Amino acid sequence: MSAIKELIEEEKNAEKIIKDAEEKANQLLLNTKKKADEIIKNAENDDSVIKELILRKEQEIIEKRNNILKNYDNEAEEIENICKKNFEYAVKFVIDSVLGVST
Amino acid sequence: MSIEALRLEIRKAAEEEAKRILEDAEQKAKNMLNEAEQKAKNIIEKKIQETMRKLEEKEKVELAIARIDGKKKVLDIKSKYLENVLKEAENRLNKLPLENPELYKNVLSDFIIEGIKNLEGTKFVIKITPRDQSIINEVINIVKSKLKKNIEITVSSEFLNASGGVIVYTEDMRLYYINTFESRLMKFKSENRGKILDILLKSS
Repeated sequence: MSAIKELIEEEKNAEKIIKDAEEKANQLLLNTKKKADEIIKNAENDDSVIKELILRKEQEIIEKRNNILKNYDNEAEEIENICKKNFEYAVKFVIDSVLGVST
Repeated sequence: MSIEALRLEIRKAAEEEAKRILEDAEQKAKNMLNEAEQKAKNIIEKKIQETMRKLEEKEKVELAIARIDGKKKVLDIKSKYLENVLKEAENRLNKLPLENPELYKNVLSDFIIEGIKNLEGTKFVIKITPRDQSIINEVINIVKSKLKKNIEITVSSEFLNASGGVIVYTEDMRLYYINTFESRLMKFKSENRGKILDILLKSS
């Protein structure tokens, strides 16, 4: 009888070992689930990469925009100088054409 | 089998089962974290792609606007000089009859001849500016000598409101040819803006 009792006791211990392991496993999974949710939530909420990307790209756009404007400024300046140089000749061309003679 | 052996067997089986349960849970946890990290990576990647798409759109728009602004600036310079040339030409034409009367007499005679050639008949009426009254007889003589044909030109008692030039009418006043500085300049402007610009922009 005592031997059977011992075995029953051992069975109970075994059940407890398994139950403890199951509880530990469940706790581990629960904690891991929380951690996983947090990782996803952080990814959803963390805009630092995006902010940096926006900042970098906007800076790039400003530089490109300034370059374009600078090129056109140079072109405008060059054209203005050419126009200044040819101004008198163009006026003479108009007057001569209107008068029908060469002045 | 002894009781002790049985007990050990039961314990060993329980411990193995417990180990398996924990190992299984650890594997599941590891997979769960891997999946979460992959999902987080995908979320960030998607956000980056979406942001890049918007930024590239913004870039296209901003650079297009910059190009339009730049082209407008260049165009404005060209337009400014074109208008200045025409304005300066107009100013100088206004002063020409006083500053270069000999040239003006020739020009006026040519304007009258051009009018006559564009009308029919031998008798014409001309309308001139009040300032040109003093030179018109001389100019008519130049016209007659240049045309080398018998024509009659009468000066209208009505004056022309122009900086220079003439309107030539047929005798019955039904047909006329406007040949003033203003009309010629207007015609020239509408037909020759491209030519003036070509001259202004000639680089050598």
